[in-house]
Amino acid sequence: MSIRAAAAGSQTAEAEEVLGPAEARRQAHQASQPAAAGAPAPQAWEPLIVAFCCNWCSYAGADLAGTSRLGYPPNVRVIRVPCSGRVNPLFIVKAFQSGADGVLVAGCHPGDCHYSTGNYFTRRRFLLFRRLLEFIGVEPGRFHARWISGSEGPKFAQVMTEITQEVRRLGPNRMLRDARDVQ
Amino acid sequence: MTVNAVTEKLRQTARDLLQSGQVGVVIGFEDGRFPGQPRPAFIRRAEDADRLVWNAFCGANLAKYVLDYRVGDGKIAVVAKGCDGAALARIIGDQQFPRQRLVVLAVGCPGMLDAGRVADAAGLPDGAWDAALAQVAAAAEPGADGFELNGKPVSRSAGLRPQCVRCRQPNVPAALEPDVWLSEPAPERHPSPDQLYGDVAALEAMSVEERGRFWEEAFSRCLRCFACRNVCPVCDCRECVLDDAQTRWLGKAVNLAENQFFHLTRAMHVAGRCVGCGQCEEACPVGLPLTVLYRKLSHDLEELFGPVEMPAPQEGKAAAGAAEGAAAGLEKAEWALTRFRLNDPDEFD
Amino acid sequence: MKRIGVFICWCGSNIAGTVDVEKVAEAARSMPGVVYATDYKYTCSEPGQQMIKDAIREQHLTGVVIGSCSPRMHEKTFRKTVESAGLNPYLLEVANLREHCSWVHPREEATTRKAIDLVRAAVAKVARNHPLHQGHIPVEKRALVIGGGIAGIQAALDIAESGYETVLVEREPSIGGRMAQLDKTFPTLDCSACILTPKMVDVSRHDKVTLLTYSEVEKVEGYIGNFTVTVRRKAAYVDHSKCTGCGLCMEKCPAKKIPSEFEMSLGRRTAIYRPFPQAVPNKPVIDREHCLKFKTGKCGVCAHFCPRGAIDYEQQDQRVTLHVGAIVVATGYDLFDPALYSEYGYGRYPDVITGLHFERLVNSSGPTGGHIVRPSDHKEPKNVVFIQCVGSRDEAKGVSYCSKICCMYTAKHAILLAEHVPGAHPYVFYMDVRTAGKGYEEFYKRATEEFGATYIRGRVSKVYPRGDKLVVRGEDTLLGKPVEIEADLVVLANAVVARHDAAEVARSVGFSYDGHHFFTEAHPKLAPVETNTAGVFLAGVCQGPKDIPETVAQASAAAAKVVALFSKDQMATNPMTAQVDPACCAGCMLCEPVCPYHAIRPETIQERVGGKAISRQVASVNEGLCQGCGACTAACRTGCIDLKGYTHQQILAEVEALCL
Ligand SMILES: Cc1cc2nc3c(=O)[nH]c(=O)nc-3n(C[C@H](O)[C@H](O)[C@H](O)COP(=O)(O)OP(=O)(O)OC[C@H]3O[C@@H](n4cnc5c(N)ncnc54)[C@H](O)[C@@H]3O)c2cc1C
Ligand code: SF4
Ligand code: SF4
Repeated sequence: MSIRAAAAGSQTAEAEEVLGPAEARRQAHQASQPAAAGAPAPQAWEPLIVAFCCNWCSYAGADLAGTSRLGYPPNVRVIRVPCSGRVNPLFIVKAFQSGADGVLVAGCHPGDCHYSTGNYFTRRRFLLFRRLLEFIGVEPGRFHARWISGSEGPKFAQVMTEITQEVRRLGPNRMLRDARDVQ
Repeated sequence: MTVNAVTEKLRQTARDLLQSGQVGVVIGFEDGRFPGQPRPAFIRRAEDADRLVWNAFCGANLAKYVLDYRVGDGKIAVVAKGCDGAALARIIGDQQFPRQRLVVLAVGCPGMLDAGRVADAAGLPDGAWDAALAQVAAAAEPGADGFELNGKPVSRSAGLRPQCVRCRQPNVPAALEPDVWLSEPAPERHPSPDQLYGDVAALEAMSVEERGRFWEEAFSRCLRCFACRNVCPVCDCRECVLDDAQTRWLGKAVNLAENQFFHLTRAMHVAGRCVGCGQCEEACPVGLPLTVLYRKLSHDLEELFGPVEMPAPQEGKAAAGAAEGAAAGLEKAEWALTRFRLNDPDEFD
Repeated sequence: MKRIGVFICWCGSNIAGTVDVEKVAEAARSMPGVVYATDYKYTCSEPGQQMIKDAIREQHLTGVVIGSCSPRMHEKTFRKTVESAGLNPYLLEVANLREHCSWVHPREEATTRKAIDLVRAAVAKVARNHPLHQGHIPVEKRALVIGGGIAGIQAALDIAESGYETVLVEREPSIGGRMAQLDKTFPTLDCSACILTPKMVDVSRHDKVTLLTYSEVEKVEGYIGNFTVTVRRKAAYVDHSKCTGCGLCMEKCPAKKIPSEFEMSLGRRTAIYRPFPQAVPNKPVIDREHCLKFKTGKCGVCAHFCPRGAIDYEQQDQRVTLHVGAIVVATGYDLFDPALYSEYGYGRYPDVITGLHFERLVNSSGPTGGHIVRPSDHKEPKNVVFIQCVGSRDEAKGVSYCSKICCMYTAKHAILLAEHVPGAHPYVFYMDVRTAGKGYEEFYKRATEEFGATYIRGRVSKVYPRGDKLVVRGEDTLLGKPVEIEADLVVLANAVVARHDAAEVARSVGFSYDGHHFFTEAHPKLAPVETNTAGVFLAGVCQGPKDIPETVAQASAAAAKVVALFSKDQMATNPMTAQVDPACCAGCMLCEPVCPYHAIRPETIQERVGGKAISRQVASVNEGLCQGCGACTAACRTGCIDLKGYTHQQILAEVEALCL
């Protein structure tokens, strides 16, 4: 039984098994909303994207997207790190575990690292890690690594839009997800 | 009972080393409770040297035991097949044990047998293993390509442990410069790509959903006994990140998500460092196909960034006794994830 | 107990116009650890900051979260605010509600929800913040400059002029470098010696400069502000404290036929020699390899004639230890060996020479007294062919890069030839003429228009002798026709390459170099004179091909960096550095190679294990070198090395808070 079907059918017990009580409750609640209120479209599931951005390039790129008022979906939440090289792959696992539907690691373009070489390690580490994730069954569109410079505000906005769309198409993530009620 | 030549030489060498006080302990194998299942032995007295045995079932990796002797400065001798040697080199490169404190007793390894597989191949009934296997065990190298058991010809390959089918390193790495050769070096081995990665490729060929189901099914069976980590010779940290109670990377609950966290962590930490000794799978009580994961990563690392270099330990024993205390002067381990090349492949734009 | 205060800024309508700030503050009140939350029109304004300070005091806050513009904007401001209220400045986190939220999302519930999430993450993080303190390391206010070419001279002068002691180490018997070998310099054609020699003298006379010529740096230890350097002073066999530089010894020395390195072997020197007449210091050294006293034991002429008794055949190499706070590396360049292009015949035909030979031939103090003649028969050449890009821009046989100076000096040579030899005709084979620089294009125009140099675009395929001439055969790719010129002299503009021992220098000082062995700057745009090793700076061609104006500019830039470092007695270190937990660290040193600043080193600690004292290796971070990138933290399997300000716990808490 698919997750959506489980939620829509308010089969709470079954849904809980897959989603954890909190998530199941939220979805069940949302599913029940429109019928009761006769309101327009139900408030659908919204993807949650966690983006680790290096302070010097990608975070600055996000700031530039802001100052240039370049819109992108509000599904993205940025975590600031000094360098993409600071990002431990385990952070990504934790993010999926905690409920992220998509994760992005963004850093300076290779060659432009504020600390000269940090992103070369990022590149190696996540080239491998992405293969590992896909190997154990995480859909390819869920984890991304991108190079976004401090002057690439438009690219930041565009990448966020693309990733959100892609993850939305994939639906809620359940791989690696902690099924317990996270409080 | 006849004693094979390697065992003979091993006992003699161990006796000499212990008697002369060159080493405080010799790590090798002795007969276990069941034939075909010898167990690690830690021989401290010359008169116990005759307990040592060498036969075709001595598959366990002994390298990890040297870590128990980290504290102290006496020397220890270790019997080393190819995979023990590779693991020792890794441990030395990781600066967890100085080469000068080791006496490496190298044995060429034609591949180790698995008692169960041999029994199956010979059609031995469940209860009747022992005597028959004892006979196989006695010889270091029972028949080059096969032997007779239970009146049946058993081919060697039918009894090999799966990790030995995949073996590419039957001898200790040259850089380890073994102190003693207990046997002739074994001939090179060239497993086919299918033997090496057939199971990896099969999984890769599945859809991502199928793979997800496969691994979820596997990981949900994990008991979190940590046996895989505990036997792994390249898990040579003093403290394991998985035990870090302060940061609590790994949650306490035994559930699928935490189990996945555990195994992904381990996979990333042995990626490109794994020596393929297969101890993890042997130790796993629920039979998780762990090396599939590690081989997948080693394969991808090699494909992406070129061959993973073995750590080159310090130049022979020339420096023996020179560096005291900390493992000063030891060569550093090469790890693909702490190196880079400017022109590494880039898929991230 | 954590007592966290949350301040949500409206930023006028910038945030409040899109995000329901009251609702965010309201939500914050129920976040774990939060005891106070409010919203305010302009948090960064005077009254806004006052409000925060008051709240810190009144509410006894242990941590502050400000939901406002990007931390890249006002983090520093708010740190000061928090500090002035008596709280450690690092007990602050800024949630980016403007650039990352209100400015990029529409006014809707999801935007406010995101703002709440961002604040929750900041609260979760600040609950795990620890007070951090800047460290201080003392700075030894003395500089070392390695290499006494124009780059090193300029850097040493600038540093010394600012009042700091400087040691200039040069491996040759004289400072001056390549520039001393040049005749006139583009684009103004002022004579090289006229502008260089005064600087050489200045630097040698400067009371803040110690000149160590004929010396090499052997070893560098320590770190920014605190380097210990071992310099080897090669035995000159002349006691320079006695020598007056009268030069009698050189006159009398019977070994006179030694090819002079300075003159590119176009001239000769004696065994006791100084490289050129204006050498600084103007005192000779004995070249042991060619000295008859050393070779045969007989001779001793110089000792006999020296009026000061300065000759000392027993002199030994000496080692000097220096303590310096900063190092400028200015070791210059070598030139590509054109013999690798056998088609040009360099090394086979004496009249095929390089640009640097040409500089010596046209120089009035050079071996020919400034008469341009052919090395073979000392006849004045009329037709001279210059071939550019010999080795440059040729990945197959030479180097991939452009040597940058050859186009200009070839134009210069063409002009000098036409000036010196009436009726001479310069021909130049080129791939492209690159003249980016002030007055450069005009200079090149003069060479062609005023001095009649013929520029032929194309490669030379062969140079071969015909009678006493050299036939240069090539193709004019613009006309698509083969060309053949009968030349009297062929001058090759061979590529600028790194010093043959550049890699060794980089390794002994401890910084990185590129694939061509040019030294690597810390950042190609923003830190062009720094290296990855704090306290080590670069000047001149050792970092990459450049001409004299650029070299001098870079040298002064490096000097400015040194002076800035010396302007304080202590250097404040970044408090957000990596930190090793020695109890957990296995000393595997896998973290070491990822640190771009060589800040991680093994260290031996004492420990008690089972009642026994043992010593073992762990990693340790030099806080003076660590720049806080955190690369090491992801390399450590155990997580034993953590980054203050961005700890594992902090980041994990943020992740969890965001995903709630
Ligand atoms: C043929 C030719 C013509 C040129 N004409 C012009 C021109 O007209 N105008 C112009 O602007 N530029 C010209 N240039 C470029 C000019 O030569 C360089 O820009 C300039 O010399 C660079 O100076 P530098 O100090 O970086 O290097 P260098 O002049 O090479 O000086 C480096 C110094 O460091 C010393 N050294 C090296 N290694 C060590 C060590 N390990 N320890 C101690 N000391 C060491 C060397 O002995 C040398 O004295 C020309 C170059 C060539 C080849
Ligand atoms: S944080 Fe960066 S600079 Fe500091 S020790 Fe670690 S790798 Fe080096
Ligand atoms: S901090 Fe980690 S990586 Fe570095 S030496 Fe210690 S255990 Fe190894």
